[in-house]
Amino acid sequence: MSNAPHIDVDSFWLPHASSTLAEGTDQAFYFIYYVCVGFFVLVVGAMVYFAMKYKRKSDDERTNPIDHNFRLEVVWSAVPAALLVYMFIIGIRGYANASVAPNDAMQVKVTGQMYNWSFEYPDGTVTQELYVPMGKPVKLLMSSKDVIHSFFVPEFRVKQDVVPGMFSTLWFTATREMDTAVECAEYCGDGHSKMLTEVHVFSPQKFDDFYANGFEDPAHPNPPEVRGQKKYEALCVSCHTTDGTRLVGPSFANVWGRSEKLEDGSSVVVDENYVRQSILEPQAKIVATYPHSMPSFAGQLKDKDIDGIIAFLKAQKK
Amino acid sequence: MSRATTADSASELPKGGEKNYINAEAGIMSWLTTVDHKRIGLMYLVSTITMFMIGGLLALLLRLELLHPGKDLLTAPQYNQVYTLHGAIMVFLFIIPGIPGGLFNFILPIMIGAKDVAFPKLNLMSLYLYWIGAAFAVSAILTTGLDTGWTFYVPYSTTVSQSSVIAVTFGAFILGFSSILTGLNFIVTIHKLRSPGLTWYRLPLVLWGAYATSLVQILATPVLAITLLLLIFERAFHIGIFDPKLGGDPVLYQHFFWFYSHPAVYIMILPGMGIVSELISVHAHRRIFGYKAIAFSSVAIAMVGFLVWGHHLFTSGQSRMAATIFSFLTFAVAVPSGIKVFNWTATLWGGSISFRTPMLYAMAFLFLFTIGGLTGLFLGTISVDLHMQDTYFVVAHFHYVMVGGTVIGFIGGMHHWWPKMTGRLYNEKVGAFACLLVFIGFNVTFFTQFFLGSRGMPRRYYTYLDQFQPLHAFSTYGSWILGAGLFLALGNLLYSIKNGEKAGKNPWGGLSLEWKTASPPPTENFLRTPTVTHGPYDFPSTGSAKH
Repeated sequence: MSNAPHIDVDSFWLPHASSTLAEGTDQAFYFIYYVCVGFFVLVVGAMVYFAMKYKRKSDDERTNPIDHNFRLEVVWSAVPAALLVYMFIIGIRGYANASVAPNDAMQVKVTGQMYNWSFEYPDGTVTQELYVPMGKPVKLLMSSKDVIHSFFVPEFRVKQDVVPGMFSTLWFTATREMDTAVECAEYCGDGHSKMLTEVHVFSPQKFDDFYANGFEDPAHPNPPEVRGQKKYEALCVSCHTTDGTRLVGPSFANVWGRSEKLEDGSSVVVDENYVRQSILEPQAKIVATYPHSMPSFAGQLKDKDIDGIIAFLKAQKK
Repeated sequence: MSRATTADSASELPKGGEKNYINAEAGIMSWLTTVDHKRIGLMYLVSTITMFMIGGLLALLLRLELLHPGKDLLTAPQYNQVYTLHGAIMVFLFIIPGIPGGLFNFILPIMIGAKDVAFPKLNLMSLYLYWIGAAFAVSAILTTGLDTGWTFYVPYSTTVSQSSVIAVTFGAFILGFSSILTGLNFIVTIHKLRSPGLTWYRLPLVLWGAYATSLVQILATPVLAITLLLLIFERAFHIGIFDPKLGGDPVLYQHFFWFYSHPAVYIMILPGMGIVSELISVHAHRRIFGYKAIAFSSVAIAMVGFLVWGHHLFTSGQSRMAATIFSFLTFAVAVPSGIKVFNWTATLWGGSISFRTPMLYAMAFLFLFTIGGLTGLFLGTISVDLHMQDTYFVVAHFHYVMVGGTVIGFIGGMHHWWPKMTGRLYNEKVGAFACLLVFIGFNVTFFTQFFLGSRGMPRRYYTYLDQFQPLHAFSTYGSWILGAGLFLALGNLLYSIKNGEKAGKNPWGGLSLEWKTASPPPTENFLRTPTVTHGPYDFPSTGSAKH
């Protein structure tokens, strides 16, 4: 599980096909691709050929008078039309597959918010990265807490907008063990391009082991500051830096124990209580000059996650 | 440009001191109060090309920022403002008004042998509305900026964005009226003011394009106006229409928005298609192949184009039945577009092709628009679109259509009618070299983006995965070539105003009416109303032209 998400691209055009849907989509892609290459060569080839052959030699040249040909025009309307109908059909066939999840799919609830993703499993475990078993269908039930986002996994060839006020769904069956990027594909504000996470595809056996342990490696439970760092990278990094740069919210560099001036003129020391309150009720004490844009993570972070974040913040003292 | 032109031509009157529309009156007030369609067209051109330059500089800035992941020049909020302004300026202030308001305003009445458009004062009002709308948009740049994307998607635009959404949408609202009035004017003009003998089937094809464009402007733009008003109501008065927190539906906004903005794509491309029909036939001195097919396919595209907006919403959560129907109709609109391309290509067959600058742009158009059109097929196929939607593949596709099609057609048209507008010929060699730079730069910039997108790079990203860096850098290098080509083309045209050779009435040997009057034309266009006795493309042929 590296920190930088990655997309495996092993052909010129497309990422590795890592879901059952991807195979059908890629067949459609390549059918259209070869049709396009054919028509492009035909049109541009004819243009170049005519350009060379019929270059003007004198200003009073007479030119070909033929200005229509019914048979030719029928052919160049009907042949493309037939190909287009075929494209339409393969398109909706793939769309029908992508629309209806198998009944035995494992359902994961996905919440998008500015600017991170969270995933809630049937047993209530909430994660910031998606873990799925290879070869088993997974259905995502998705909604947004704020603006429109879009859940996009290039290696699976799936994308679905995540809209506030409604649920949208998406499903896939991963076909190989790997880690790949999840990107937000609908513009959602300043952190849009950092609204990234990963899908981890495990063998069914490994998936079960991890699932039983809250998706921490059962053999090596994380120390608190590592758990905190993971939460930081998943949830906080799009607004808070650790190098002192100001983004949407205050930087975490040397934040621990610092006295912060609040909007009403009073001040507060950054300690366990203030951090905990800022995560659960962020609007309570906003540091002066910063916008009121932090969402609450109540219900999304467990106590041990918050302890981890506190440990991580302590470690940011230089 | 317009004022400079006035000064030049006053000092360099052609021998005999002929009056033309430029030297007919002097002084800035004579321009601001003119009702001459040629002067209004020229002012539109100066305004829209200025906007094109601003939008283009913003694009260069975006590409520079994308040279590396993370920060090169701009912060994320600045980047979002720059890409939004690039899109909004290019769409609302350049492409939509540029060809109809600028080029067509100038040539349309002359091409039908009329003294002016049907409603000259309304025409001037369109220009003023354009300026007022532009002032709103520019005021947003100077004050708080705009960071919603040119699409203003809710609820981001109504609840989150701190930028001047209301000023810009109100500006776009006003610009919409400018567009509607221009369309209305052109339709009436084409119906009522044609010269004797100029039957519908003797209309130059560029006017069929103008006619189809005008229909779309009149029928679609009011929907944008209503949508933007609703958006303003929601943002300013918290009336729940689109925001789910207020009981609204954000997908409804997308339906409203694209109900206008997809037909608007045809407001942008139909004029380009019309111009290219003209360039190819005139510079090949050959009868156009499939006149009626090209003319009626313009109208067909304009009509079917109203029924395909839902293909922007395949991943938005619209109903599956709706998505299926929209996919089918989208393919239906591909047929007339394909027919046009085949007819243009066939028009080169057996022609007498001169490779002057306008023809080079026409051939660049054929090459680029073919790619733009064909790549649309990937996006109309729903299953493939689920992967491509909102990636750089879409960005590349619409730039191939909008820039490779419309803008290349516009620049080609500018070179084609420039001698008519100014009475001067530009340097052909420089013009051809600029065209080559534009062509190479454009392909380097945007073809790269097809495989950025198909490999999984989403659009509107300030920073990106490291693996995409080489392709982004390549695309950025292309933008420099493209920018240089465009500046060279513009410089070449402007230089010719003072230094170009005199053009004469008809430098290309064209047959339509605008080539029968002086260059530049007199204020009344024709001293006597011309009578038309042949089609616009009846060039001398090797055999009988009987059907």
